Amino acid sequence: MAMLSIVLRNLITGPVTTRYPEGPADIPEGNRGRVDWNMEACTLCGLCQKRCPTLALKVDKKAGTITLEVFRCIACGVCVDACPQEAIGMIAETSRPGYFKDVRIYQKEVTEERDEGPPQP
Amino acid sequence: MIKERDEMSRTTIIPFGPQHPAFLEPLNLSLKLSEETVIGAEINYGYNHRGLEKALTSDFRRSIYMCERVCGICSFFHSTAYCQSLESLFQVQVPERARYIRTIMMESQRLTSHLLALGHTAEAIGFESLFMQLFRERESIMRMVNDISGNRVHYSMNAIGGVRRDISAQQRSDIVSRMDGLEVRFEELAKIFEKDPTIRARTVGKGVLTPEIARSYGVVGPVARASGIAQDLRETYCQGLSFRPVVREEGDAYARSMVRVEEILRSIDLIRQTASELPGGALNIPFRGRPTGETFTRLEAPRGELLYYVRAKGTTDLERIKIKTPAFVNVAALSAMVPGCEMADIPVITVSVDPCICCTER
Repeated sequence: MAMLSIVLRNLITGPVTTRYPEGPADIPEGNRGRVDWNMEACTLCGLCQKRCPTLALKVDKKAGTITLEVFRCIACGVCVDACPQEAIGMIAETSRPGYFKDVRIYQKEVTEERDEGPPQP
Repeated sequence: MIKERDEMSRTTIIPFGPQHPAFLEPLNLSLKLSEETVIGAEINYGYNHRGLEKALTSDFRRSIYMCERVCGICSFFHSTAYCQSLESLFQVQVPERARYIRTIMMESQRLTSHLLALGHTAEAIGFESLFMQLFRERESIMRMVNDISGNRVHYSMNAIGGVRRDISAQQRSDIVSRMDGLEVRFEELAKIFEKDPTIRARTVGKGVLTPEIARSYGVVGPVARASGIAQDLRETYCQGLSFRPVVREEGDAYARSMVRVEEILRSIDLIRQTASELPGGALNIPFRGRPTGETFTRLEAPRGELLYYVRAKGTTDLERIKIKTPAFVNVAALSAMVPGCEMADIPVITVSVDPCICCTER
Protein backbone atom coordinates (compact mmCIF):
# COMPACT_ATOMS: atom_id res chain seq x y z
CA MET A 1 0.00 0.00 0.00
CA ALA A 2 2.93 2.31 0.70
CA MET A 3 4.03 1.97 -2.91
CA LEU A 4 0.54 2.87 -4.13
CA SER A 5 0.58 6.19 -2.31
CA ILE A 6 3.97 7.02 -3.90
CA VAL A 7 2.63 6.09 -7.35
CA LEU A 8 -0.46 8.29 -6.88
CA ARG A 9 1.69 11.19 -5.67
CA ASN A 10 3.93 10.82 -8.73
CA LEU A 11 0.87 11.11 -10.96
CA ILE A 12 0.24 14.61 -9.63
CA THR A 13 3.83 15.87 -9.36
CA GLY A 14 4.87 15.05 -12.94
CA PRO A 15 8.18 13.76 -14.31
CA VAL A 16 11.54 14.49 -12.67
CA THR A 17 13.53 13.81 -15.84
CA THR A 18 14.35 16.38 -18.53
CA ARG A 19 13.53 15.86 -22.19
CA TYR A 20 17.12 15.72 -23.39
CA PRO A 21 18.13 15.74 -26.34
CA GLU A 22 14.86 17.46 -27.43
CA GLY A 23 15.29 20.02 -24.66
CA PRO A 24 18.46 21.51 -23.22
CA ALA A 25 20.64 19.25 -21.07
CA ASP A 26 20.50 19.87 -17.35
CA ILE A 27 24.19 20.48 -16.61
CA PRO A 28 24.93 21.90 -13.14
CA GLU A 29 27.02 25.01 -12.79
CA GLY A 30 30.60 24.33 -11.79
CA ASN A 31 30.59 21.04 -13.62
CA ARG A 32 34.07 20.00 -14.65
CA GLY A 33 33.65 19.87 -18.41
CA ARG A 34 35.78 21.16 -21.27
CA VAL A 35 39.19 22.60 -20.37
CA ASP A 36 39.77 25.95 -22.03
CA TRP A 37 42.88 28.14 -22.31
CA ASN A 38 42.90 31.90 -22.32
CA MET A 39 45.92 32.33 -24.56
CA GLU A 40 46.20 36.04 -23.81
CA ALA A 41 47.04 35.29 -20.18
CA CYS A 42 49.05 32.13 -20.88
CA THR A 43 52.85 32.48 -20.67
CA LEU A 44 53.54 28.97 -22.01
CA CYS A 45 55.39 28.07 -18.81
CA GLY A 46 54.57 24.38 -19.29
CA LEU A 47 53.42 23.67 -15.73
CA CYS A 48 50.11 22.26 -16.98
CA GLN A 49 51.95 19.78 -19.19
CA LYS A 50 54.17 18.76 -16.29
CA ARG A 51 51.28 18.14 -13.91
CA CYS A 52 48.79 16.51 -16.33
CA PRO A 53 48.19 12.95 -15.02
CA THR A 54 47.18 11.53 -18.40
CA LEU A 55 49.85 13.27 -20.52
CA ALA A 56 47.09 14.77 -22.66
CA LEU A 57 48.87 18.10 -23.08
CA LYS A 58 51.80 19.33 -25.08
CA VAL A 59 53.16 22.84 -24.75
CA ASP A 60 55.32 24.00 -27.63
CA LYS A 61 57.10 27.16 -26.56
CA LYS A 62 58.72 27.77 -29.96
CA ALA A 63 55.52 27.55 -31.98
CA GLY A 64 53.51 29.15 -29.17
CA THR A 65 50.89 26.39 -29.13
CA ILE A 66 49.18 24.18 -26.60
CA THR A 67 47.95 20.88 -28.04
CA LEU A 68 45.27 19.00 -26.13
CA GLU A 69 44.34 15.43 -26.97
CA VAL A 70 40.67 15.65 -26.07
CA PHE A 71 40.10 11.93 -25.62
CA ARG A 72 43.00 11.59 -23.18
CA CYS A 73 41.81 14.47 -20.98
CA ILE A 74 39.92 13.28 -17.89
CA ALA A 75 38.88 16.80 -16.81
CA CYS A 76 40.44 16.34 -13.35
CA GLY A 77 41.24 20.06 -13.06
CA VAL A 78 44.89 19.61 -12.05
CA CYS A 79 46.04 22.04 -14.78
CA VAL A 80 43.49 24.60 -13.61
CA ASP A 81 44.89 24.43 -10.05
CA ALA A 82 48.50 24.42 -11.29
CA CYS A 83 48.29 27.46 -13.60
CA PRO A 84 50.04 30.45 -11.94
CA GLN A 85 48.45 32.91 -14.44
CA GLU A 86 44.91 31.53 -13.95
CA ALA A 87 44.75 31.17 -17.73
CA ILE A 88 42.97 27.82 -17.66
CA GLY A 89 39.28 27.48 -17.01
CA MET A 90 36.63 24.82 -17.27
CA ILE A 91 33.40 25.12 -19.19
CA ALA A 92 30.41 23.19 -17.86
CA GLU A 93 29.50 20.97 -20.77
CA THR A 94 29.51 17.26 -21.49
CA SER A 95 32.03 15.78 -23.89
CA ARG A 96 30.66 14.85 -27.28
CA PRO A 97 31.13 11.55 -29.05
CA GLY A 98 33.18 11.69 -32.23
CA TYR A 99 34.41 9.67 -35.16
CA PHE A 100 38.00 10.77 -34.63
CA LYS A 101 40.25 11.32 -31.62
CA ASP A 102 39.99 15.10 -31.61
CA VAL A 103 42.98 17.30 -30.98
CA ARG A 104 42.48 20.94 -29.98
CA ILE A 105 45.25 23.42 -30.62
CA TYR A 106 45.46 26.77 -28.84
CA GLN A 107 47.68 29.33 -30.56
CA LYS A 108 49.28 32.22 -28.75
CA GLU A 109 49.39 35.41 -30.77
CA VAL A 110 53.05 36.37 -31.19
CA THR A 111 53.73 40.10 -31.21
CA GLU A 112 57.50 40.25 -31.70
CA GLU A 113 59.32 39.14 -34.87
CA ARG A 114 60.75 35.67 -34.78
CA ASP A 115 62.50 33.29 -37.17
CA GLU A 116 60.22 30.84 -38.90
CA GLY A 117 61.58 27.32 -38.41
CA PRO A 118 61.14 24.50 -40.88
CA PRO A 119 57.46 23.52 -41.41
CA GLN A 120 56.19 20.99 -38.87
CA PRO A 121 54.99 17.67 -40.30
CA MET B 1 16.09 -34.16 -0.28
CA ILE B 2 18.73 -33.01 -2.72
CA LYS B 3 20.27 -36.46 -2.61
CA GLU B 4 16.95 -38.16 -3.45
CA ARG B 5 16.41 -35.90 -6.44
CA ASP B 6 19.96 -36.48 -7.52
CA GLU B 7 19.35 -40.17 -7.78
CA MET B 8 16.18 -39.72 -9.82
CA SER B 9 17.39 -37.12 -12.31
CA ARG B 10 20.50 -36.36 -14.26
CA THR B 11 22.46 -33.29 -13.16
CA THR B 12 22.78 -30.49 -15.68
CA ILE B 13 25.43 -27.77 -15.85
CA ILE B 14 24.11 -24.40 -16.96
CA PRO B 15 26.42 -21.47 -17.68
CA PHE B 16 25.00 -18.25 -16.18
CA GLY B 17 26.65 -15.08 -17.49
CA PRO B 18 29.01 -13.33 -18.26
CA GLN B 19 26.46 -11.85 -20.67
CA HIS B 20 23.05 -12.44 -19.17
CA PRO B 21 19.92 -10.26 -19.12
CA ALA B 22 19.54 -10.64 -15.34
CA PHE B 23 23.21 -9.89 -14.63
CA LEU B 24 24.58 -6.40 -14.70
CA GLU B 25 28.12 -7.56 -14.21
CA PRO B 26 30.29 -9.83 -16.38
CA LEU B 27 30.37 -12.69 -13.91
CA ASN B 28 30.14 -16.31 -14.96
CA LEU B 29 28.57 -18.99 -12.77
CA SER B 30 28.60 -22.62 -13.82
CA LEU B 31 25.48 -23.87 -12.08
CA LYS B 32 25.03 -27.56 -11.36
CA LEU B 33 21.32 -28.29 -11.38
CA SER B 34 19.18 -31.18 -10.37
CA GLU B 35 15.84 -30.37 -12.00
CA GLU B 36 15.23 -26.77 -10.89
CA THR B 37 17.34 -26.94 -7.75
CA VAL B 38 20.90 -25.71 -7.70
CA ILE B 39 23.23 -28.25 -6.10
CA GLY B 40 26.53 -26.53 -6.77
CA ALA B 41 28.13 -23.54 -8.41
CA GLU B 42 31.53 -22.71 -9.77
CA ILE B 43 32.54 -19.08 -10.15
CA ASN B 44 34.75 -18.10 -13.05
CA TYR B 45 36.56 -14.77 -12.96
CA GLY B 46 38.68 -13.00 -15.49
CA TYR B 47 36.37 -11.47 -18.11
CA ASN B 48 37.20 -7.93 -17.08
CA HIS B 49 40.85 -8.08 -16.05
CA ARG B 50 42.68 -4.85 -16.93
CA GLY B 51 46.03 -5.20 -15.17
CA LEU B 52 45.52 -2.06 -13.10
CA GLU B 53 47.78 -3.13 -10.23
CA LYS B 54 50.75 -3.06 -12.57
CA ALA B 55 49.63 0.15 -14.28
CA LEU B 56 49.30 1.88 -10.89
CA THR B 57 53.00 1.42 -10.17
CA SER B 58 53.85 4.29 -12.54
CA ASP B 59 54.30 7.89 -11.29
CA PHE B 60 52.88 8.02 -7.75
CA ARG B 61 51.35 11.49 -8.24
CA ARG B 62 49.49 10.45 -11.39
CA SER B 63 48.25 7.16 -9.94
CA ILE B 64 45.67 8.94 -7.72
CA TYR B 65 43.50 9.52 -10.78
CA MET B 66 44.00 6.02 -12.11
CA CYS B 67 43.06 4.59 -8.69
CA GLU B 68 39.67 6.22 -9.06
CA ARG B 69 39.20 4.25 -12.27
CA VAL B 70 39.55 0.88 -10.49
CA CYS B 71 35.83 1.07 -9.75
CA GLY B 72 33.23 3.61 -10.78
CA ILE B 73 30.90 3.03 -7.84
CA CYS B 74 33.45 3.31 -5.04
CA SER B 75 35.98 5.55 -6.85
CA PHE B 76 36.50 7.91 -3.92
CA PHE B 77 37.27 5.05 -1.54
CA HIS B 78 40.02 3.80 -3.82
CA SER B 79 41.66 7.20 -4.12
CA THR B 80 41.30 7.81 -0.36
CA ALA B 81 42.90 4.46 0.46
CA TYR B 82 45.72 5.22 -1.96
CA CYS B 83 46.26 8.72 -0.58
CA GLN B 84 46.22 7.43 3.00
CA SER B 85 48.87 4.86 2.07
CA LEU B 86 51.14 7.52 0.61
CA GLU B 87 50.44 9.86 3.53
CA SER B 88 51.67 7.19 5.92
CA LEU B 89 54.80 6.68 3.75
CA PHE B 90 55.46 10.45 3.77
CA GLN B 91 54.42 10.62 7.47
CA VAL B 92 52.01 13.46 6.75
CA GLN B 93 49.15 14.16 9.16
CA VAL B 94 46.03 15.10 7.19
CA PRO B 95 44.30 18.26 8.47
CA GLU B 96 41.07 17.73 10.37
CA ARG B 97 39.01 19.66 7.80
CA ALA B 98 40.26 17.44 4.96
CA ARG B 99 39.44 14.33 7.00
CA TYR B 100 35.88 15.59 7.52
CA ILE B 101 35.46 16.47 3.83
CA ARG B 102 36.69 12.99 2.91
CA THR B 103 34.13 11.50 5.31
CA ILE B 104 31.30 13.52 3.71
CA MET B 105 32.32 12.41 0.22
CA MET B 106 32.82 8.78 1.26
CA GLU B 107 29.45 8.58 2.99
CA SER B 108 27.77 10.25 0.00
CA GLN B 109 29.31 7.66 -2.25
CA ARG B 110 28.19 4.93 0.13
CA LEU B 111 24.64 6.28 -0.24
CA THR B 112 24.84 6.14 -4.05
CA SER B 113 26.36 2.65 -3.92
CA HIS B 114 23.77 1.24 -1.49
CA LEU B 115 20.88 2.87 -3.36
CA LEU B 116 22.21 1.31 -6.55
CA ALA B 117 22.47 -2.12 -4.88
CA LEU B 118 18.94 -1.85 -3.47
CA GLY B 119 17.63 -0.62 -6.82
CA HIS B 120 19.15 -3.60 -8.57
CA THR B 121 17.72 -5.95 -5.93
CA ALA B 122 14.26 -4.46 -6.60
CA GLU B 123 14.80 -4.85 -10.34
CA ALA B 124 15.95 -8.47 -9.99
CA ILE B 125 12.80 -9.17 -7.99
CA GLY B 126 10.72 -7.54 -10.74
CA PHE B 127 9.68 -4.51 -8.68
CA GLU B 128 10.41 -1.91 -11.37
CA SER B 129 8.55 0.98 -9.74
CA LEU B 130 10.59 0.66 -6.54
CA PHE B 131 13.76 0.54 -8.63
CA MET B 132 12.74 3.86 -10.23
CA GLN B 133 12.07 5.49 -6.85
CA LEU B 134 15.43 4.38 -5.46
CA PHE B 135 17.25 5.67 -8.50
CA ARG B 136 15.45 8.99 -8.23
CA GLU B 137 16.80 9.39 -4.69
CA ARG B 138 20.22 8.31 -5.92
CA GLU B 139 20.10 11.02 -8.55
CA SER B 140 19.65 13.72 -5.90
CA ILE B 141 22.86 12.50 -4.19
CA MET B 142 24.67 12.40 -7.53
CA ARG B 143 23.60 15.98 -8.07
CA MET B 144 24.86 16.95 -4.62
CA VAL B 145 28.32 15.42 -5.15
CA ASN B 146 28.44 17.02 -8.59
CA ASP B 147 27.83 20.42 -7.02
CA ILE B 148 30.66 19.80 -4.51
CA SER B 149 33.26 18.14 -6.72
CA GLY B 150 32.25 19.04 -10.28
CA ASN B 151 31.72 15.43 -11.37
CA ARG B 152 29.19 12.70 -10.72
CA VAL B 153 31.48 9.67 -10.51
CA HIS B 154 35.17 10.58 -10.48
CA TYR B 155 35.41 13.35 -7.92
CA SER B 156 39.18 13.97 -8.36
CA MET B 157 39.07 15.63 -4.96
CA ASN B 158 41.81 13.71 -3.20
CA ALA B 159 45.41 14.75 -3.01
CA ILE B 160 48.27 13.25 -1.05
CA GLY B 161 48.08 15.19 2.22
CA GLY B 162 44.45 16.30 2.06
CA VAL B 163 41.78 17.32 -0.43
CA ARG B 164 41.78 19.66 -3.43
CA ARG B 165 38.34 21.22 -3.13
CA ASP B 166 36.65 22.92 -0.23
CA ILE B 167 33.03 22.80 0.92
CA SER B 168 31.57 26.30 1.28
CA ALA B 169 29.11 27.39 3.99
CA GLN B 170 26.35 27.48 1.35
CA GLN B 171 27.16 23.91 0.30
CA ARG B 172 27.15 22.79 3.94
CA SER B 173 23.64 24.01 4.51
CA ASP B 174 22.61 22.51 1.16
CA ILE B 175 24.02 19.12 2.23
CA VAL B 176 22.13 19.23 5.55
CA SER B 177 18.82 20.20 3.91
CA ARG B 178 19.22 17.54 1.21
CA MET B 179 19.90 14.91 3.87
CA ASP B 180 16.79 15.98 5.80
CA GLY B 181 14.66 15.63 2.66
CA LEU B 182 16.24 12.32 1.69
CA GLU B 183 15.72 10.84 5.15
CA VAL B 184 11.96 11.48 5.04
CA ARG B 185 11.56 10.08 1.52
CA PHE B 186 13.87 7.12 2.13
CA GLU B 187 12.11 6.05 5.34
CA GLU B 188 9.00 5.57 3.23
CA LEU B 189 10.93 3.36 0.79
CA ALA B 190 12.59 1.50 3.68
CA LYS B 191 9.15 0.45 4.92
CA ILE B 192 8.40 -1.06 1.51
CA PHE B 193 11.66 -3.02 1.66
CA GLU B 194 10.85 -4.20 5.15
CA LYS B 195 7.22 -5.16 4.80
CA ASP B 196 6.28 -5.66 1.16
CA PRO B 197 5.05 -9.26 0.64
CA THR B 198 6.58 -9.49 -2.87
CA ILE B 199 10.03 -8.58 -1.64
CA ARG B 200 9.76 -10.84 1.40
CA ALA B 201 8.61 -13.79 -0.74
CA ARG B 202 11.60 -13.43 -3.05
CA THR B 203 14.30 -12.77 -0.44
CA VAL B 204 13.48 -14.26 2.99
CA GLY B 205 15.40 -17.52 3.51
CA LYS B 206 17.14 -17.28 0.12
CA GLY B 207 20.91 -17.65 -0.12
CA VAL B 208 21.52 -18.17 3.59
CA LEU B 209 25.10 -17.68 4.78
CA THR B 210 25.61 -18.88 8.34
CA PRO B 211 28.14 -17.03 10.55
CA GLU B 212 30.50 -20.04 10.53
CA ILE B 213 30.58 -20.28 6.73
CA ALA B 214 30.78 -16.47 6.47
CA ARG B 215 33.88 -16.54 8.68
CA SER B 216 35.44 -19.38 6.70
CA TYR B 217 35.01 -17.42 3.46
CA GLY B 218 36.24 -14.25 5.15
CA VAL B 219 33.32 -12.16 3.84
CA VAL B 220 33.27 -8.46 4.65
CA GLY B 221 30.92 -5.49 4.70
CA PRO B 222 27.13 -5.76 4.56
CA VAL B 223 27.35 -9.47 3.65
CA ALA B 224 29.28 -10.20 6.87
CA ARG B 225 27.12 -7.87 8.97
CA ALA B 226 23.96 -9.59 7.68
CA SER B 227 25.41 -12.89 8.94
CA GLY B 228 25.92 -11.60 12.47
CA ILE B 229 29.60 -10.59 12.20
CA ALA B 230 29.83 -7.14 13.77
CA GLN B 231 32.77 -5.61 11.96
CA ASP B 232 32.81 -2.11 10.53
CA LEU B 233 36.02 -0.12 10.16
CA ARG B 234 34.07 3.14 10.47
CA GLU B 235 33.95 2.58 14.22
CA THR B 236 37.62 3.59 14.38
CA TYR B 237 37.62 6.05 11.46
CA CYS B 238 34.64 8.10 12.59
CA GLN B 239 36.06 8.99 15.99
CA GLY B 240 34.22 11.87 17.58
CA LEU B 241 31.01 11.09 15.70
CA SER B 242 28.22 8.92 16.98
CA PHE B 243 28.23 5.73 14.96
CA ARG B 244 27.48 2.07 15.53
CA PRO B 245 27.41 -0.70 12.91
CA VAL B 246 24.23 -2.33 11.63
CA VAL B 247 24.17 -6.06 12.37
CA ARG B 248 21.53 -8.67 11.58
CA GLU B 249 21.52 -12.37 12.32
CA GLU B 250 19.52 -14.07 9.53
CA GLY B 251 22.22 -14.17 6.83
CA ASP B 252 19.76 -14.37 3.91
CA ALA B 253 19.18 -12.07 0.92
CA TYR B 254 16.54 -10.16 2.91
CA ALA B 255 18.98 -9.47 5.76
CA ARG B 256 21.63 -8.24 3.33
CA SER B 257 19.15 -5.79 1.78
CA MET B 258 17.94 -4.65 5.20
CA VAL B 259 21.52 -4.04 6.38
CA ARG B 260 21.95 -1.73 3.39
CA VAL B 261 18.63 -0.01 4.09
CA GLU B 262 19.65 0.74 7.68
CA GLU B 263 23.18 1.72 6.65
CA ILE B 264 21.72 4.35 4.32
CA LEU B 265 19.95 5.92 7.30
CA ARG B 266 23.18 5.76 9.36
CA SER B 267 25.14 7.35 6.49
CA ILE B 268 22.60 10.16 6.20
CA ASP B 269 23.07 10.77 9.91
CA LEU B 270 26.88 10.70 9.59
CA ILE B 271 26.86 13.17 6.69
CA ARG B 272 24.62 15.52 8.65
CA GLN B 273 26.87 15.33 11.72
CA THR B 274 30.04 15.86 9.68
CA ALA B 275 28.62 18.72 7.62
CA SER B 276 27.38 20.58 10.67
CA GLU B 277 30.59 20.05 12.69
CA LEU B 278 33.03 20.77 9.82
CA PRO B 279 36.14 22.26 11.49
CA GLY B 280 38.16 25.09 9.99
CA GLY B 281 41.79 25.00 8.93
CA ALA B 282 43.96 24.00 6.00
CA LEU B 283 42.79 21.71 3.21
CA ASN B 284 46.03 19.92 2.59
CA ILE B 285 49.57 19.61 3.85
CA PRO B 286 52.38 19.65 1.28
CA PHE B 287 54.86 16.81 1.16
CA ARG B 288 58.42 16.63 -0.14
CA GLY B 289 60.53 13.98 -1.79
CA ARG B 290 59.69 10.52 -2.96
CA PRO B 291 58.05 7.70 -1.02
CA THR B 292 60.08 4.98 0.68
CA GLY B 293 58.96 1.94 2.65
CA GLU B 294 55.84 -0.16 2.72
CA THR B 295 52.39 0.28 4.23
CA PHE B 296 48.93 -1.22 4.60
CA THR B 297 45.74 0.85 4.60
CA ARG B 298 42.25 -0.36 5.39
CA LEU B 299 38.98 1.46 4.70
CA GLU B 300 35.32 0.57 4.98
CA ALA B 301 34.12 0.79 1.36
CA PRO B 302 30.39 0.32 0.58
CA ARG B 303 30.92 -3.39 -0.02
CA GLY B 304 33.27 -3.92 2.93
CA GLU B 305 36.90 -3.69 3.86
CA LEU B 306 39.15 -2.28 1.15
CA LEU B 307 42.85 -2.94 1.61
CA TYR B 308 45.77 -1.22 -0.11
CA TYR B 309 49.33 -2.41 0.18
CA VAL B 310 51.95 -0.03 -1.22
CA ARG B 311 55.70 -0.60 -1.40
CA ALA B 312 58.03 2.14 -2.61
CA LYS B 313 61.78 2.30 -3.02
CA GLY B 314 62.44 6.04 -3.16
CA THR B 315 61.78 6.57 -6.87
CA THR B 316 58.89 8.24 -8.69
CA ASP B 317 57.58 4.82 -9.68
CA LEU B 318 56.17 2.63 -6.94
CA GLU B 319 57.46 -0.88 -6.60
CA ARG B 320 54.22 -2.70 -5.87
CA ILE B 321 50.56 -1.96 -5.20
CA LYS B 322 48.27 -4.72 -4.05
CA ILE B 323 44.55 -4.02 -3.84
CA LYS B 324 42.27 -6.39 -1.97
CA THR B 325 38.74 -5.38 -2.79
CA PRO B 326 35.68 -6.38 -0.75
CA ALA B 327 33.79 -7.75 -3.77
CA PHE B 328 36.59 -10.26 -4.39
CA VAL B 329 35.85 -12.17 -1.18
CA ASN B 330 32.10 -11.59 -1.20
CA VAL B 331 31.58 -12.93 -4.72
CA ALA B 332 33.46 -16.13 -3.79
CA ALA B 333 30.94 -16.73 -0.98
CA LEU B 334 28.22 -17.11 -3.64
CA SER B 335 29.29 -20.73 -4.09
CA ALA B 336 28.23 -21.35 -0.47
CA MET B 337 24.95 -19.41 -0.79
CA VAL B 338 23.37 -20.90 -3.88
CA PRO B 339 23.26 -24.67 -3.19
CA GLY B 340 19.69 -25.66 -2.37
CA CYS B 341 18.03 -22.65 -3.98
CA GLU B 342 15.88 -22.55 -7.10
CA MET B 343 17.33 -21.53 -10.45
CA ALA B 344 15.04 -18.46 -10.55
CA ASP B 345 16.51 -17.16 -7.27
CA ILE B 346 20.05 -16.91 -8.64
CA PRO B 347 19.76 -13.27 -9.86
CA VAL B 348 18.29 -12.07 -6.54
CA ILE B 349 20.94 -13.87 -4.45
CA THR B 350 23.76 -12.62 -6.67
CA VAL B 351 22.55 -9.02 -6.57
CA SER B 352 22.09 -9.22 -2.77
CA VAL B 353 25.86 -9.79 -2.50
CA ASP B 354 26.35 -6.59 -4.54
CA PRO B 355 29.04 -8.00 -6.81
CA CYS B 356 31.36 -5.53 -8.49
CA ILE B 357 33.43 -7.23 -11.15
CA CYS B 358 35.32 -4.02 -11.84
CA CYS B 359 36.70 -4.22 -8.29
CA THR B 360 37.04 -8.01 -8.29
CA GLU B 361 39.17 -8.26 -11.40
CA ARG B 362 40.89 -4.87 -11.30
